[in-house]
Amino acid sequence: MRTFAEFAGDLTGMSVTGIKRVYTAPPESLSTANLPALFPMLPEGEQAPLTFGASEYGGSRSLELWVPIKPSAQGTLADAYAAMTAMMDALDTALRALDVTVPYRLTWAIRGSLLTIADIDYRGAVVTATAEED
Amino acid sequence: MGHVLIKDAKIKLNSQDLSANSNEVSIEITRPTDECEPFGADYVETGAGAMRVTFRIRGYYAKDSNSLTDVAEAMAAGGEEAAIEIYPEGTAVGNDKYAGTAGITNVSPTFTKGRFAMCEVSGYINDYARSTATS
Repeated sequence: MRTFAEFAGDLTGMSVTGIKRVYTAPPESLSTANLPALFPMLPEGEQAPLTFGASEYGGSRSLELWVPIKPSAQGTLADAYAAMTAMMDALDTALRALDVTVPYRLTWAIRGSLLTIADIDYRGAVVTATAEED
Repeated sequence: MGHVLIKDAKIKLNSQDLSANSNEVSIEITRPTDECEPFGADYVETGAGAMRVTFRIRGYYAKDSNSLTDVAEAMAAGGEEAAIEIYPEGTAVGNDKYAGTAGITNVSPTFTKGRFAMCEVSGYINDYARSTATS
């Protein structure tokens, strides 16, 4: 089973069109110059033995990626909508590319969301990615 | 309760320990009846027939030599028979042991995208005996 750290590394190692900065951990604060940005939240998972012997374990790892795009106080709703759907498509493309390189079953969900980071609201996307092995 | 909790189960085929690849093993023991019509009698006489023992191991495909698939495939390809030993609760002295000489009739590795590859092996057991582990 992929470790939590390896799974987070797989996701933050993706090349996503339009992302200006990738953080490998949640940032304390964000500079608008670095937006859109991408960072992982804490993962969760489960594990269970698969065989009589101790060598094989299966289970799942799940992780949210937060992708703030723009402060919610800036721009028009139409601009924000266009930017968010474009970013969701870019994330989808990057996750498809990652899927063919990883040894586990990768599934994901993407939703547009209002993200609060360092007390500032950002429009952005949230990816919930899951790795499963069984 | 005398129920058996499966812990540290050990499966050996052709002297190789396949426990690391296996997660289910079953043995089927059947004794079909034989029937005959005694000459001049108007009834059928039924008696115990010969016992048949078959087995099935389900588990995971591994690329390694001496894995479940590797051992079973080699036996099937060569038409070989070899020792099989099944210890449902491990090999500690006094635990159940099912053993005999196995022949392989089916090896089915299955490859599915996004999942570990599976393998199922089945065959027959000659000279079957149930005993307890002694060492």
